[in-house]
Amino acid sequence: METRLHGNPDYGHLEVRLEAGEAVLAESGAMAWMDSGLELRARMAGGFLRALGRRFLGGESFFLAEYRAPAAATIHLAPSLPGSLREAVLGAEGIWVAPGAFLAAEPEIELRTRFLGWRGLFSGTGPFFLRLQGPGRRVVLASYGALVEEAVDGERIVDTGHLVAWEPGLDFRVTTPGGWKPTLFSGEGLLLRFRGRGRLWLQTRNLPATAAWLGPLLPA
Amino acid sequence: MQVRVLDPGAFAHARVRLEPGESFVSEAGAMFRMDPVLDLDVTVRTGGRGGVWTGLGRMLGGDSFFLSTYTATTAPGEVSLAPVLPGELRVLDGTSADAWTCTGGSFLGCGPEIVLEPRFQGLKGLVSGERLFFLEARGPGPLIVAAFGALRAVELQGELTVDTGHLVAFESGISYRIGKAGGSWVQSFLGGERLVLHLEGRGRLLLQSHAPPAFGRALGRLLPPREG
Repeated sequence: METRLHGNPDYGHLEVRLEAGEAVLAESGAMAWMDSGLELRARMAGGFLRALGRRFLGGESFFLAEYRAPAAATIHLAPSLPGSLREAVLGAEGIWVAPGAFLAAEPEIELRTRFLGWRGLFSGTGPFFLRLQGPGRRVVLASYGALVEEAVDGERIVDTGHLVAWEPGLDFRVTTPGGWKPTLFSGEGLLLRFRGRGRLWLQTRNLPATAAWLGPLLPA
Repeated sequence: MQVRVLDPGAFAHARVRLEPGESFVSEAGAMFRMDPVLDLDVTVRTGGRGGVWTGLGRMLGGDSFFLSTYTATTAPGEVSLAPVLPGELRVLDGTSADAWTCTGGSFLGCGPEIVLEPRFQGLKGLVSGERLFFLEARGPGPLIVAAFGALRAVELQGELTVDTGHLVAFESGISYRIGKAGGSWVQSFLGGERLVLHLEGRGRLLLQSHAPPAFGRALGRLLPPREG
């Protein structure tokens, strides 16, 4: 499986070349165009109940799509939002991926859907997160806006709605900016405080914020 | 006549320079600046053909009923055109043998000798989620098409499967049918690919990296419900 990223930073899309017998795992509905003849198989997004939750509480798909090439073929995958793509190679612990940020991965990857409770709800992206594992396996992440990757050793404050992915060496809790004045007036209602050591991926735009800006401008 | 794409990328626009006696046609509403020496008029006819029905067909295809025309009479002038969505533009230089089929809304403008005709897609258009009509642009001169996102050109020799919403335009040597993405119908539907287009033949094909309906749905479900 050979991958090429096109169109970054604003209209990132992914080209995947598959040899005979190879496959790629993609977000549901992400196929843009492909050589005819690839076999599509639906794969549950990690456990029946959690996939169900992801579908009905997270507004995401119940299934992911696995495309297998009987003969060498090329497939192009695209996210629904304008933004960037970035490939990540999984470390020993794998990664957590926020809803909407998963585009594609090697099919051998182990994938589960996890409910993160209140923390997830208040993270601004939704309560169901994907947990991907498989040391050395490749994942392609998608962001709304540019995709910022950084190595954290210590602490980092992240605004809600900007989270793309993080390594489990990091953990976060939901906080307020501290003090009633910044909480009310800084425009940063809730914040995520990450602590630990690992890679963190963030997006520079936030779709709920775009919608909140556009909504009041729509005619009644 | 000279057509240039400026600021290539997400916010591309086209600048058309007209010498006295020359004219240009565009989708209604596409002009965002022009020299006052140019005459602006509207028409439903292109390349000396068309009428009310072609206007209606264009409208059902996601384009405008009227077309705008820009004409330089006494002095040269420039008109600038821009599409609605952010994305790349491409200028295709057609000969009299060329014909391009543009999908809903991808047509931006063309030279005056190009004939624009809506082509009924029948059931294919309805079930695929594409439009009932595609717009065929036939004849010599420049043709400007617009994409949502990045624009990719493919030289088709054989077959290609394209998801609805990613097709911009294709040459006349190419035909398409509606089908499933691959594997069984059940797997194809569960995998999130409902109906796709299977293109076949020889010729050039333009694709866009992003699908406007997918973006619209992602944003739309966060907006307040429409009333009435």
